[in-house]
Amino acid sequence: MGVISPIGQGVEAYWAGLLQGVSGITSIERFPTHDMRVARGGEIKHLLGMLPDNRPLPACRAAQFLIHAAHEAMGMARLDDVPATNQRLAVVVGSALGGIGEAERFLDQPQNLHALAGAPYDGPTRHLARWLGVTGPVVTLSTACASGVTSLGVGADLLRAGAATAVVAGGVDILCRFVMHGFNRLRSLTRDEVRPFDRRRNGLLLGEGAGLVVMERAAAARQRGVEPLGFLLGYASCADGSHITAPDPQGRGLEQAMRLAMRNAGISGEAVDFISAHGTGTPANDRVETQVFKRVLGQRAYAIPVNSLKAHMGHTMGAAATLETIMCLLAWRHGQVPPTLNYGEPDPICDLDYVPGQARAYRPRLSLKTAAGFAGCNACLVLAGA
Amino acid sequence: MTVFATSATMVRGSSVTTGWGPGLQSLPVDAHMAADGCRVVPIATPVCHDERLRRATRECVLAVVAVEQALANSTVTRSELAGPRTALIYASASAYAAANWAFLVEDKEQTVFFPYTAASAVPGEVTIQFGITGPYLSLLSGANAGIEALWQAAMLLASDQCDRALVLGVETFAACEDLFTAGRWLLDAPLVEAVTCLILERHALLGEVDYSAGSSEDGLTMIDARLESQTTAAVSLCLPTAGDTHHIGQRLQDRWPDLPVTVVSNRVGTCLACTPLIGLLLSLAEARHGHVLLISRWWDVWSVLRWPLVADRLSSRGERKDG
Repeated sequence: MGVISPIGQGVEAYWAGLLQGVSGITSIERFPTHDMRVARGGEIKHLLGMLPDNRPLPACRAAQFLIHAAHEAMGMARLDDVPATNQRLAVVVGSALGGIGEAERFLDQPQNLHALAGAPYDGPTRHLARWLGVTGPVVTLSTACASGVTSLGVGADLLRAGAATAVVAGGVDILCRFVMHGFNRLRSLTRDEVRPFDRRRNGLLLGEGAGLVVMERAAAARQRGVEPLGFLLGYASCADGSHITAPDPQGRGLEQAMRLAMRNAGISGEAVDFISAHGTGTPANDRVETQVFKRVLGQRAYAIPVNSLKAHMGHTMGAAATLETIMCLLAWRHGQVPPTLNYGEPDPICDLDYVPGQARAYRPRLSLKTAAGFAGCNACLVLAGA
Repeated sequence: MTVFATSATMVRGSSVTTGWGPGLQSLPVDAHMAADGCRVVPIATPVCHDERLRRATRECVLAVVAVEQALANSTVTRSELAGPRTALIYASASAYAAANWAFLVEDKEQTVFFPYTAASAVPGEVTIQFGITGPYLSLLSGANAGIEALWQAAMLLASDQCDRALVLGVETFAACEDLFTAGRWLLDAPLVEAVTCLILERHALLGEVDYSAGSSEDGLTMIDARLESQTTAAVSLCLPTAGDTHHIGQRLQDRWPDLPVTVVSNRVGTCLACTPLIGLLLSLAEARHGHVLLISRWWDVWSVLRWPLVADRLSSRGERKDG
């Protein structure tokens, strides 16, 4: 796995930030925000140089995030020194915004055709594929802010279909004027802290980052002498069919995604140890998610911890769900569940155990990762610790 | 209009609208000549009286109309489409560009409600309009997205995650013609707007759908391996540039001179992710037996889909056509 996040670059720093309750929310400095109602977010101030060689990085910020995360993930999976001819490596990247940062750059520099070429959704993915020398499929997808789950599901499909022997999968998005302007216009950004599941919650903040995992069939990894860090047991991505921005009031799409993912994994609600929620801190999302968890898991929903990382980093959009998936696997490995930050006042309609205050000693073997996005996108992963 | 619709076939309904008009029959014999120097061949924007879609983008309206037309060309009912057993797989390389660019430059004449800048807004409006709550995915891998979408739909059907799958392709260019012109080294003219919808259902031969993708020489080797199969009845080249088309076309001619090859861009022009969907429908219309190999390329990556040709040729009322 590989991580670039506002609270830490690299898996170790990220995990330490999560456990210590570090907040990556700061004033945005990289672009003008004078005309915005809210100008804070989970901004990465500078990329630490983690790459060993001097190859010039592409100018595309999203691609830079991906390349750094992929470098870490490939190293951890010990695939970085496997010759390209010995593997059919694929890349699957999910993003809510794609190469929009490059479109902004082209707007500023209309002669810069490289920026124009990188502006489509698949621009950052292509940069990453080229950097890695990928020989297999190169897939870009978007289920808005659920993209970081969907990409792992499609990655698993590629392995199952035999179209790849290994897949670098995950999500990325950057903070830019385009998205800050958009969310400001929607008035979904809070001037307060992000407070997932708290009675006082009144909106989200945005963040940026990248999360990638290397996916491989367990037997293939073990054959190379590499022990898996976790297993993807089931996945589903389903539509709300309800509203272009708001979640379905009954959470039909999310419920369908959870039930389908659990069916695909062959597990019942009783087996679930932990939920990594989407938990944006908006009144509607957190209420709907809580209702759905209770409908799908019944009494089990009250017995297991549920957390949200949106207060740590802001909503990192396409990256969020992959970063949270990585957290689930780390929680199993280290026997600790990171807290939901800024949770202080319980809401009677959000009445589950949201891990308030500080990290908890707990080893969740089987986790659900839920995610949702604009246009009624919902997705769920069933993960197991190795 | 000819459609491929019966309970025994995989493609139960379809619709195609391009800048040339509705249906496959509107496609010219030679798109490049028919374009007569026009860089973009736009689709006429459909009139939409639905109040719910008043803020939706042109691409959303085109998509909704395409699904309505596919339903009309099938025996599937609107109520069958609604609910959790229908999947929607969306493919596009360009349909988000107009909304993104208008929002970016703050075009006051084309005020875009921010959520419509999301690529998922187009399929999102379709799910809302038809009450679809099943598996849902937007593929945006340039011209390869069409093949990926067909493969994903086949996977979802084969694994019983849905009873039917809509594969929806939308490509629009008119609003950003200047941008596409600036990036002319990527694509050939004419850029032809297209909206295509296929309604797929489960079939015993679904397991024979085979997807693969690879870069450069690896990709060509992979194509060769699939062409060696005795069951390959035809090839549909769905490539966005003449250079690639010429290169692979020559290779096919040299090695498999008897294999029927359709160059989809000769018929329709450049319509990116919609090309394989149109290529599949053109292959089905030829009523061959065996498999068609759909081939696309985007930047370095070749994508190949082997698809069993199991559709009977039917009239729009679902009656078998003789001959």
